[in-house]
Amino acid sequence: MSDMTQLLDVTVVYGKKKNRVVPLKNVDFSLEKSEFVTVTGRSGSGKTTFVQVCGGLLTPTTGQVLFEKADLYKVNDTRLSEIRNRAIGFVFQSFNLIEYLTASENVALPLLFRKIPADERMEKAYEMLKSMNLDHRASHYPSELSGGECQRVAIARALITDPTLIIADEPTGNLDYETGKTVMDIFSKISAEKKAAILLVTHNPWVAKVGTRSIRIEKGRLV
Amino acid sequence: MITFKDIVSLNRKKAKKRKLAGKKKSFAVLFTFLFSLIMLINASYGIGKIVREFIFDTGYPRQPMLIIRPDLDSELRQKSEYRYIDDEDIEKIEKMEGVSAIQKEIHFSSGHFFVLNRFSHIVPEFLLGYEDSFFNLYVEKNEKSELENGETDTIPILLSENMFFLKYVPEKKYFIRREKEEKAKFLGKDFNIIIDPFCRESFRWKRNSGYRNPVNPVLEIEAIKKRQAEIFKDFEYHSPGMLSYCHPLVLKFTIVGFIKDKAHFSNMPYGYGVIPSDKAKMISEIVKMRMAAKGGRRSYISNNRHGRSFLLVICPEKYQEKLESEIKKMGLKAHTGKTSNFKFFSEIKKAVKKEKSLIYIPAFILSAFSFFMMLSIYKILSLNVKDAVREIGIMRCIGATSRDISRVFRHLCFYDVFKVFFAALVLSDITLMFIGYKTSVLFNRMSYDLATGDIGVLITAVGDFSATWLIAPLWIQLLPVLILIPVTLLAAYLPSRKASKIDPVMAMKA
Repeated sequence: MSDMTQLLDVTVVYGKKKNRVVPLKNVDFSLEKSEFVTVTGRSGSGKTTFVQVCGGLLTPTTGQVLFEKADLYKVNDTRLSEIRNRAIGFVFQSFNLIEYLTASENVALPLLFRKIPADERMEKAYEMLKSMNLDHRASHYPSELSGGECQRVAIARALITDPTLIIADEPTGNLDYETGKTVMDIFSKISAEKKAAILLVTHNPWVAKVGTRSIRIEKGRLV
Repeated sequence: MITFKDIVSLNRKKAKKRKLAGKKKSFAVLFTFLFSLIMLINASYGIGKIVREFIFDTGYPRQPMLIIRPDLDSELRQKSEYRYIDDEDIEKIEKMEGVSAIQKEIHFSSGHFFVLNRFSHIVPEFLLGYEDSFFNLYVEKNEKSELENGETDTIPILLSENMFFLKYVPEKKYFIRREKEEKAKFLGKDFNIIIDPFCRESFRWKRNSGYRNPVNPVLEIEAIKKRQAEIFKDFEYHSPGMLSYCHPLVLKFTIVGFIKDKAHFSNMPYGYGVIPSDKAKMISEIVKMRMAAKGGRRSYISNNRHGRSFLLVICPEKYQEKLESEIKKMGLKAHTGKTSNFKFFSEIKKAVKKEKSLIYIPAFILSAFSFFMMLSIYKILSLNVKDAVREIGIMRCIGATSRDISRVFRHLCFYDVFKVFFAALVLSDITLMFIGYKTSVLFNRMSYDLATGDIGVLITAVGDFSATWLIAPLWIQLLPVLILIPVTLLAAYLPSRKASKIDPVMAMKA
């Protein structure tokens, strides 16, 4: 299997002098296509920084990040945004849905930045929500949805562009066990059916076991 | 890239969800209120105008001055005692040769001649539109000077409501305030009269006449000059400024009577004068041309309440010298700003300057207000951007480029800012009207009215309210706009730029 994402000696440094923080130190990592990797570690260990670097959101201070063999941080903003839009899907702990958009509009949002006509993207969003059993909630605003539903909407939004990599930062963190389990079932299904690579950060040991591989970060290093 | 339609749709949804619809409603109410106010003011002006024209019958062009030519031995001329002309007389007059054609069309206005008095209290608002260099010729006719030396007994008077406001004193050979019983003394007397058949600025040969030739302006000028020469060759006097403006003509006429039924607010009857028929025909022709050129504009002539009569001839400085010599030929005393230290010039300049300076205050306040208002808007929009940081982070994560973010926020900011921009424009105009220039003029006139107890003038002042609107210098009206535009653009652009620069990771942490 070929590597989809590679981190080569990646170091991230925040701040200067006394305020200097190094959340990632000389990290080498590779993620293969269709691989489901869970990332665990204590709070402040650098998990989120790690996935942000992988997802093209955070430029590392040193090192290289290869995404599909291209250096992710050597492309311009437009290209990087395009990669994020087309190839990477993000799911966050706090769902990060836009409050003034309905569920279907939130799901369709990534397509908006692709100049896809409104009808087409809304149709696709509806289909996506249907696959998440949320079609009856399509016209609801995030404030009218439960936590689990919000997370499923967020997953639908991440999937609508058919990404090759899904990055989920503690997707079950705000959910109870049952709901969390439902969400994780969805990720397992995605991994199996869509063949998308998944990089999932979690604190929960049971969630960590869902993936095909589990890595641990401690003090900015992979252990 | 995100399309404009998408941006609009996105921002509408945002506004809707954030219950900005309510605020929009407030804006709508505010705008409706402001526009209603403006409409009300306009309506008031219209009502004032109607009142003025139909009750007091003073408004231009409803100022019928009949020029007639009765025979010297006619019955009318033979009337030995003063009386008002009755309908029968009018009928006779109107049947006279050449009269009806003129009567139908002629409308006189004396735009070049303003009788000024108490100018320290009142500066007619039209004067504010002139540059200082225009106040350059002053014809004085109520001083003893040449008139007493018997050089001439021809006195130029205005064909307007002021015409018989003055009393002619033959032994002193000048006019003082009119007394009704003195009217008879006018009858049968010959006077020179200054008329301005074209009205001030209204007759632009180049612009309005049939001689316009945009292809070849030289031919146009030649044609105009030729026609002017034809028209004016027989006139006793015409000013050198006729090429571009039609300046007054001086014609000899005889007063033959008075008519009562067209009284204006000063209860002043109009007079009938006599001029030679060839001149009458010529005037008729000129008037026709003027009418063809869509007529003129109303001019303002203040009443002379103190028996003093000044004629202020407003003309471009380059014509000053020639006009002065022409007027001197008429046996009148002429002062100019250059040749005389007469107080009149400095006083009127001072008064005009004072009036004009009032404009600067509201203009400054408005400009400062507009500037700070837009700064506040910028601040508010910046806060909006701050509020939306998380949203920006989300959008960046799902593939929005910094350009997309900038466009979304630019639209949002511009939309908000332009609402404020137009509100500011309306407000500034209203402020200009009520706090600034218009108020100064109106109050000036009102104080005069109160002092003289003439409520009629007050009504006229209200009726004339919009005249001040027209002559407020353009730059004053444009100043707030000129300041608002760049500030508006910056107020809208900077927050959107700020939004586009936000780092997605930092945004997600917000």
